[in-house]
Amino acid sequence: MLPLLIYGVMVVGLAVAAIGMSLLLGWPRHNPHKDMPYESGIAPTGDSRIRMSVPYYIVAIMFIMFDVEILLLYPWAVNLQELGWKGFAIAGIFMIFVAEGLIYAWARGGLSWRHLSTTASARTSSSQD
Amino acid sequence: MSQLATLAPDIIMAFGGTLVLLLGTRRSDKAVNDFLRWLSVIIIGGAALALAYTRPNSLPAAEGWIISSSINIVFGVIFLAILAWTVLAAKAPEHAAGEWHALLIYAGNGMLILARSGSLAALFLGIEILSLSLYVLISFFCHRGMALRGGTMYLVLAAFASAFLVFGLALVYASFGTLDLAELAQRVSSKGLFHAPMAMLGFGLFIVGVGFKLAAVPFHMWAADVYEASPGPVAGLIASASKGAVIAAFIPFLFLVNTHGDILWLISAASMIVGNLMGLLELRVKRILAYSSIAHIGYILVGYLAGYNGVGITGVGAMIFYVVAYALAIAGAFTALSFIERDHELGVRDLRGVARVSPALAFCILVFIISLAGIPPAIGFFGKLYLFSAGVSAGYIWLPVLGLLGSAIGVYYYLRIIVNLYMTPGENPNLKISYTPLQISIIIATAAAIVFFGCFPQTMITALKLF
Repeated sequence: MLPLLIYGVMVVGLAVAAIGMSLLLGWPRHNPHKDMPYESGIAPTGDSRIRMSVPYYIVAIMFIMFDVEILLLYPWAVNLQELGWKGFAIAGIFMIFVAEGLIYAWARGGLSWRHLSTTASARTSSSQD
Repeated sequence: MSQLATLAPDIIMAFGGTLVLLLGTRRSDKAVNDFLRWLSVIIIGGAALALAYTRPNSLPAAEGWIISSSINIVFGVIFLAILAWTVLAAKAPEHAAGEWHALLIYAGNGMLILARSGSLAALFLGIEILSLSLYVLISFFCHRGMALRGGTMYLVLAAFASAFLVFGLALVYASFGTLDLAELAQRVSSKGLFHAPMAMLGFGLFIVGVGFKLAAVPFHMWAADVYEASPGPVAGLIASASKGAVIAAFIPFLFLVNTHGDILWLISAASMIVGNLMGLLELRVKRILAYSSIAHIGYILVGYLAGYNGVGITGVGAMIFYVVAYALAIAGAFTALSFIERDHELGVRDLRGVARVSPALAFCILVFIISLAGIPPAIGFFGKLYLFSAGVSAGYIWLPVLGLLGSAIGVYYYLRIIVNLYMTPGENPNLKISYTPLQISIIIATAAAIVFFGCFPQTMITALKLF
């Protein structure tokens, strides 16, 4: 119990010391360059709220979706020998539903860039009516 | 092979939903929409038949995830019936009938898994399948009013509640070392919960998650907004079958009454009082029904606390009876109200003149409201009677008293709806009511069923084998 207590005191003490010392030794001095957002040493340019094309967003969502679904196959692939044909059948059923998602997206025009951009612009113009 | 027979309803629902979804992408006109509607009803009916013919107490399937005791089968058939009812009574959207019906079927699949879950993991899986379908269904008509807001609200809060639930289940697993529900109940009864503080905490968090899904006070904040935002039939489905499925999944945890009974008592009492009091302040019909559904969860929890006690009909039996009685009334009310077309949210005053324009619809709404209020010729009266009598025979005197007080308060806002339907003079030129013959006949049949079972409750008790 005692070592844990000493450890805890040291952790808290170190954090308090680090913040307190920096407050004591270096007073905050502001200048435009110092207050600039810091991102890996690169000077930021432009607005962060840029317009993004809607098809890009939908394709990105689909990529993430299928990526995550395929990821679930890794544990099965690692244990392929032990799981045998029963595991193969279960993975097959799983793949049927993944394929269903792909077919659905395809049939709804989710894979066609041109279709996506025309429907997206049609929706925005109709909602402005 | 018997394992496959136990799993058959889930297989039918999963593959059927997929079929409906893919067929819906080809064309969207009225013929296709009608075809998809009847195909969905056939799929749900097939699953219900497969479920009804599973042998009770056969071996658990899918590594113990799905069990089939007689209570679970009764619950499952009830939920599938409500789902088929919703599919028939709801107006499917023109542009996306495939998605609409497929999501309803997937939601039904979640309810089935939830109602028959044999392990903690299956319980979580069922809740997630159900909620994921409901997120989309709530904001299905996303250009209309608050639909997106309601769906997002439900998404965020339900995900938060799921985190509580799954953390609680993890703590329970950590202290008892099993996911299997039967084994868990055995280990809890042999070891006792009071010596396992981690499991006590885990079950407490579990009750938070369940309470959220049931919209029991103090986890009820989302109910009014979400119900108001969602399409009428979906609101009915959330209020009836979705909550019923969570109740069904909660029944194997009846041993919690010994340790967490006081908390459940408080939740039940608070739901009955707060739900009814908040209903008094509301002037919008869907929000009134939302608060009434909070109060009804309080009544149902009285039956849960009674457990297997009770004279004639046990607390659990009364709960099943009440879930059916309540589902008929609330799903009917929400769907019937969705026939009244408004461009803004439906207020109590918008109901004026409905009785003159469409006497049948007004009378059906009257029956649903009377059943919700628990006035004798309707089935809701017997539901409350069985719940409270089971509560009294289990030794809870104050809960039924609070429940009766709450019902008395509730009558006021139920009557407010009826007064505006029937007794307010004045024309309502903006009133527009639209329904298909199929929809109104289903609503009338539901109202007739409420009155029939209200006059002969014994028929339903024998049909559900509640004794």
